[in-house]
Amino acid sequence: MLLAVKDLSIVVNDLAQEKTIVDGISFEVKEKTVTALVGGSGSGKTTTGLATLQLLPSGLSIKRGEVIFKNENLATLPQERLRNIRGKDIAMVFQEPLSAFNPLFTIGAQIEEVLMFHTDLNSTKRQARVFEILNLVGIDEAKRIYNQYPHHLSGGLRQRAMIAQALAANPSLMIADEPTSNLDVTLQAKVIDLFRKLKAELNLSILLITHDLGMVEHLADEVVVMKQGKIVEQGTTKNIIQNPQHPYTQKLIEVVKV
Amino acid sequence: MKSKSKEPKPISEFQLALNNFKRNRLAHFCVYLLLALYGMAVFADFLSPYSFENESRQYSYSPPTPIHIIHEGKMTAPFVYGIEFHYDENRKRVFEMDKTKKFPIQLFQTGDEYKLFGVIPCRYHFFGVPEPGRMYLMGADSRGRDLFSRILYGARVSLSIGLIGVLISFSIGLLVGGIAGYYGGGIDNILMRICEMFMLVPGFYLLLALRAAVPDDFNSVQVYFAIVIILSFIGWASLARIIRGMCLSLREREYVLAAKAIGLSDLAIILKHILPHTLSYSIFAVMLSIPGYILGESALSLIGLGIQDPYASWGNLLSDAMSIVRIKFAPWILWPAFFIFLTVICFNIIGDALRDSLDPMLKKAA
Repeated sequence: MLLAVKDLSIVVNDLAQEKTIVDGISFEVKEKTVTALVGGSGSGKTTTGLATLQLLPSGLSIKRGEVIFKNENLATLPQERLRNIRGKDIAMVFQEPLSAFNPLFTIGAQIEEVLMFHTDLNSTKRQARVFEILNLVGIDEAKRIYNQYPHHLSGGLRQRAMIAQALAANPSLMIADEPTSNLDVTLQAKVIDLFRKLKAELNLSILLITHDLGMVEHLADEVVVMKQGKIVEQGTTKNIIQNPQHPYTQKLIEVVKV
Repeated sequence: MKSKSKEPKPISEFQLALNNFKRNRLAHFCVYLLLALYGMAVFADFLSPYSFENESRQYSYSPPTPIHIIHEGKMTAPFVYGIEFHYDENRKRVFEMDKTKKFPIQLFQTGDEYKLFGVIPCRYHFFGVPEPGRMYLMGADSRGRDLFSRILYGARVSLSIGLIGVLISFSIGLLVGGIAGYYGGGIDNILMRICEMFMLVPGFYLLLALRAAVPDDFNSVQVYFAIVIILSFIGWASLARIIRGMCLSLREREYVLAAKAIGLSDLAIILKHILPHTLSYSIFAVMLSIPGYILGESALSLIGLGIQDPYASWGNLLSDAMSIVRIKFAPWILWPAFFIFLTVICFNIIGDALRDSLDPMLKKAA
């Protein structure tokens, strides 16, 4: 088992009254599989993704539960060790790469930053690795993109560059938070293809956070359906899509079919 | 765009700002003026005709020596006449030109020995007159030392104090502001209360109090660094407060979260992903605060607490001009004030221009 979330509860603790936004959820991400965390807005899926890396925004905290990654409970690890895991073993792809890239630095410099922190490569080797990884995510003009600033790239290229950054240090798990929701339909299909290819070529597991069941159907091996901080249904993609039990899941699937 | 290359080179925000800055002619001119002033400071020992210690008491408060090019009706190379003086009925010296003695102004004149860049021993001065001639381009001070030379030497102290002071205080201010803003909460609270303690005391009195805490037997180099440290001690707090406010909002940006997600340490995030975004503010804040350091040093030296004679700084040169009587009969001792004024106004104009070019909001309004 690569990642196991056990009985995870997350609360808002700076309100007068404690409010639970993720309520005792448990799921697993197996090696070399894509697990989709599905739900509408406010279902707590993004929060769950951030909690996996212990990156909850201030005001939110884990009340109970465990996040076991490769036999270590991330919820109790010291910061030092966590920093080594972030980016190296677990990488994150954000929804909006335009704001997730620092506008002051070039794409190349920001991908290299991951390597600088997690590997001992010298600067020539780092650059070579950046070119390699950019090619891997399907960017042909790696040399040109390397020196571009984030706002110079098109949305699709930016998302690929973001994925490249996540993959730079060869992580075993990638958390992708709504990776396609800001892209148009053709680009969405391309990103789905890319994820499939990466999963096959790099032995990568993906925790896919999305509300798009169409994408789930094409990509995910297993599905976890969340509603208002609780898991309502989970199982293999085939089972869930073809035979949804919970009315909420049925509704989500209906939306896609229309 | 006349550029022939198909691919326009990516332009960073700073290049954009620089292009904007270059459009401001006045500020552009000030940059060159400042570079000239700093150049003068660096090459002071070469450019000045005399060393800062070279005194000849009989020429006390000698007025600026006129430079002539016409001798006995004929045009010649620039030269100066010898300086003579007699006492008037009030036992005051009256200087006159001795037209029988003529000293040509020569380039690369040999004179007082010095060490170029602190290492190469050298006797050549850019210009000067042969002994026993004496040339006072901007007049002489009480001990007959050349004011022009002393201003050049003084520029070293006065101009460098601004840069070093700003460097120290901005490093502290950025770091403290960055840490307070990034972490927030208790750390923020403590750091900001410390800042306020410094800001509460009026600057000049704090300056005096801190100077009083410095031992009296310091040599001039030690005094110099003591002044730099005192000045930067006062300057960092207000910057830290502003930077802290900016960091409070910057830390919520998604690229900060993304930087955390790739495993960067807090310090790396503050230094690489937060503070650079405050640069557009800090750059012009630096420019606008350098004059404060120059004036602070001048103020300390003026009242005799700064750089001590025989070493020169613009402030202690001006301390000579504290008496109105002296200004009346030797007005040239105000020259250092002109240099202070020039430097301060240059920094202010450049700072203003930088603010205009770095702030996109102002651009739209214009």
